[in-house]
Amino acid sequence: MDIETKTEVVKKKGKEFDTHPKVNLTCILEECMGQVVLLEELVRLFKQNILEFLGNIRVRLQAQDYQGIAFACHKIKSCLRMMQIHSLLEIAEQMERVCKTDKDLKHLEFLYTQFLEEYPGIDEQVDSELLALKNNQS
Amino acid sequence: MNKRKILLAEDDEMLGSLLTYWLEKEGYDVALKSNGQEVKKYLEIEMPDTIISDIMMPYLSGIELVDFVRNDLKSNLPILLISAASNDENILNAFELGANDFLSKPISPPELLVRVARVMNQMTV
Repeated sequence: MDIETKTEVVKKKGKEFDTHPKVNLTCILEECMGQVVLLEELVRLFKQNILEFLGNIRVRLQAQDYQGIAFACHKIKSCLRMMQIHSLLEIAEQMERVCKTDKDLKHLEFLYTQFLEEYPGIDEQVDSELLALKNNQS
Repeated sequence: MNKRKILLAEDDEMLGSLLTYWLEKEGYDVALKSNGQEVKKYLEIEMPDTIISDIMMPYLSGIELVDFVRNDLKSNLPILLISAASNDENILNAFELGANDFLSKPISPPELLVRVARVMNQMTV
């Protein structure tokens, strides 16, 4: 396979990955016993937690507070696991690992940027998924 | 009949809200506290029937909470710990200090209800 074909394959795979749904709220709705009102409240808390997490990490990165970053990542993991958002969960896990091992600030900043870039798409998907579930119930 | 009181110490608001919903639905009276200071303040004025606590909590870890309840309050009320970190040493330490049960995250609410009922029944037998 020549380099151009390889590039095309990589691009195609990337596109598939990008369009693949990263959010599925069905499981959490089951845990909410089908109560969309409760799910809405959890989604509100989720968004609030993410915003707090992002602000918290930015401040702690500036202070090079690795222990604080590890703690914040550990806490956000539970929320991401509950929402089954594996892409962000993976980033948070990596950040926690870096804080506990080589404490590489550049690597942490890179992962934080990845998180920042990934989140807006996730946020949109959460909203549309929630809307679809609400419409299904009404 | 009085509802049985549960003190739920969990700083993750999402999980706290979800577990509170399940526990209240099961008929428990739940006091949700998000840090160790609030927990201590609550325990100064109220004694719940059971405590459910996350291990990694700000100001007072779940393990310190077990120590506080058993040694400072001299109470044997059931304590169920939950945590995402499956650090064996932490868990063993918690049991040695007197925790009654441990559940690792992600928490399945139905499983939690079964465990809560079990630790409560053990205390009443």
